[in-house]
Amino acid sequence: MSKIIGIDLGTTNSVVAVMEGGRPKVIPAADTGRNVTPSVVEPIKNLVGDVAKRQMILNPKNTIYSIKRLMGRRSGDKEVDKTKKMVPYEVKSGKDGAAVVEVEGKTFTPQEISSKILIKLKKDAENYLGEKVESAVITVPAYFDDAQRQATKQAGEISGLKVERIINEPTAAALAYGLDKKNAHKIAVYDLGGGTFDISILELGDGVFEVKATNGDTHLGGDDFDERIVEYIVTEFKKDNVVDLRADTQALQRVRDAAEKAKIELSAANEVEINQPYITQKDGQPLHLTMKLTRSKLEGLVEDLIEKTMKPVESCLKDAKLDPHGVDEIILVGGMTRMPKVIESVKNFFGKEPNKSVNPDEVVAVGAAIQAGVLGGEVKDILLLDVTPLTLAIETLGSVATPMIPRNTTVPTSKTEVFSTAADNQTQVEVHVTQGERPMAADNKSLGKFILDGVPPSPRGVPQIEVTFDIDASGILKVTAKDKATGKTQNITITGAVGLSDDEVKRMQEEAEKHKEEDEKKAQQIKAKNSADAMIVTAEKALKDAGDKAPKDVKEKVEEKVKALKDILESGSKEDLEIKTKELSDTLSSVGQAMYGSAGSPQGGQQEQSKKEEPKEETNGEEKKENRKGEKKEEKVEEGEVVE
Amino acid sequence: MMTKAKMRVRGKGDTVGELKNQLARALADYDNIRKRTEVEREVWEKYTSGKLLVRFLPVLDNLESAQIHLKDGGLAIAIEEFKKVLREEGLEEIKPESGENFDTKIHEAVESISGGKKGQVAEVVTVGWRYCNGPVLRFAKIKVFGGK
Repeated sequence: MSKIIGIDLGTTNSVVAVMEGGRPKVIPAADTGRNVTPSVVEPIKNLVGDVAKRQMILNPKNTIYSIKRLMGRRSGDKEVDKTKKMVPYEVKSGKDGAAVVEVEGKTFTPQEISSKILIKLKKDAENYLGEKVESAVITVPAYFDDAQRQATKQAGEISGLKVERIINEPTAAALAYGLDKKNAHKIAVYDLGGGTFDISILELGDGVFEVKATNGDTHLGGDDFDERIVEYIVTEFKKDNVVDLRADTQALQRVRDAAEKAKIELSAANEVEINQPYITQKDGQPLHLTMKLTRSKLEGLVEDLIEKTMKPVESCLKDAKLDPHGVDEIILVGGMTRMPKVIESVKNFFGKEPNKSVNPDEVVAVGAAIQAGVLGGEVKDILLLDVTPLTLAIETLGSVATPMIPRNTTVPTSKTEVFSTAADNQTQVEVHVTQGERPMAADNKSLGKFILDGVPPSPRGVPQIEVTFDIDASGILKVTAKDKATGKTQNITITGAVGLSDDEVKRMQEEAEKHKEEDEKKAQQIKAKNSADAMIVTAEKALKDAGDKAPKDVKEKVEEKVKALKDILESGSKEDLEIKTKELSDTLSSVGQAMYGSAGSPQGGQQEQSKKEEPKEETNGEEKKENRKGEKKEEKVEEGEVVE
Repeated sequence: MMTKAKMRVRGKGDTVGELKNQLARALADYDNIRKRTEVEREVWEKYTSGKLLVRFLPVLDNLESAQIHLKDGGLAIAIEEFKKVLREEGLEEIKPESGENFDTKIHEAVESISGGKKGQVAEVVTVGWRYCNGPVLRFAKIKVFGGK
């Protein structure tokens, strides 16, 4: 069976989404790569979306936008009259008095125009999925009556889509937030789009959403906000330059673009600079537009527009017989709800933080896709995959927690890495499994430890101990250590590595954040100590290998430096350790130089090379016979490598 | 009448079928995502510079506006160097001549001018940029003749 897509057929923009691997995915338009498609149609040349919008100014009479305002309405309807005054194309009365549009003598019903948008979205989805799409869930405003819903359904059918269900936009938004599964009974959906504002109160009972009340303003949206900014810029410019930018269409276009950009930027920044050099001319001299716009200035400019949305909200609550605090959840929909002032106003009104984590431009289509997934039998709790809430790590040299499976990894999963020993002739390693985000093992939660013994005595770094972490679908973690030389294995099974309570996870994450700085310092200290230790081992080995080939004075110098470093190994600061390590490293080079200078045997040369690489290992020479992996056999690699 | 045991077995059979179906879907989804990721990565790699370059285009426009007033030799070189970098990144200008046909695929109409031949380019307001034989980074903003 082919997939069912979810479509948000909007007044200004439309969006299509689909369930994929159990998650909703918004499908980008094939021509632009953008997730939204303008609801604009030129029916004669059959242009839809951005391409239709780009020629709108040339063919104002042939380019249809805001068709949703006419869907299923009759001419003479108040909204139809309002739209007629607003749009440059012809709105007429068609069969049975239905509102239709006329382009070059041909009439098109709103269903036909909308179907062209749906055809494009369907094609984009097919292009993306690589398979035919035959059915869809389409959303409509909660206030749409039967005729309007019927018209939307017809539009779907004309486009060749079987409309599995028509659902309310606020309901789709609630589905996108998974509120059908939460204990939220009363939900307010605040939808401030490009040109319309809707507020709806939903009530959830037995897994079904019921619309208790709706209200709104069909002619209030982001475009009004933009216009306020344009007006401000033009007025300010006139004050300074005595030139009206509105008289220069090209300049006005640039101001419009700049205003929209500034509005978007001010959702994140507190101040933006609007710079448009050579915006226009006066007496043959170029004029530049440069001004600063602060967030508070913008908020002042649009304050009354935001205030205007609150009246319908109040009426809606009244109709639903609720007071603001009786609402369990608030959802924000529409691009304008990204504006901090809008969020703040909504929050103040309801006394609660609104839901805003799902992209407000896409949330309705996402909800439609979820509904489509349910209808197609795709969304089933049984397939919901769990993730590891915290990082699972293994303790390595210097008590460092070396991550094996990072947090947020979807299970089932497994990961293998090869570690080695930290001391010569170490015959056993301890595998200590920890959970948490802190870099030091001791600061994380210990899940368990075991010892793998019988490792054949060899120089440090030579044994290869393969450690595997495996989490199955039910969250059971099995950690296995295997000595590659002997084939000997040892393992431990830990339950509950995935299933932590939310509070526990939150606490541990917060702790990690709190201690970030000191933890980093600690980790660096250990790193410095491990490098120093490795350098000592390298130097001692080099001296031994060189034997009497190295001049005595050089050897003494090295020994002296080794001792100096050993003395501060446990107590020295990170800086001191680094300085002394560097000094030893520099002195050590002179051993090689001296040997080249005197004998220059090829063997000596090789030794020198290996010496230089070894310090990169992270080891320390503590005599503990503990686990400890960390160093690679030869050169470079600092930690265990992944064996695949 | 069916015995309880039989009913239980039948129930299990349904569950197994359902789970198999779910598994097949999950695997198919995964496989499709993997294939698409490969295709998408090629596209990303090819056009990854676009996101950054498109932000520089208004700066270039400003330099060109400045040059119209200043007519400075040094600035002319600087502008040419700027464009050279864009061309090296695989971009080409969309700069139709007056009289060419308006093309919605690469042009955006910003104004309709009376006179001329309807549907023909009257003037380029802002040049566009596109990848050679690839997607348009910025559409050329065009004033178009509307006829008499």
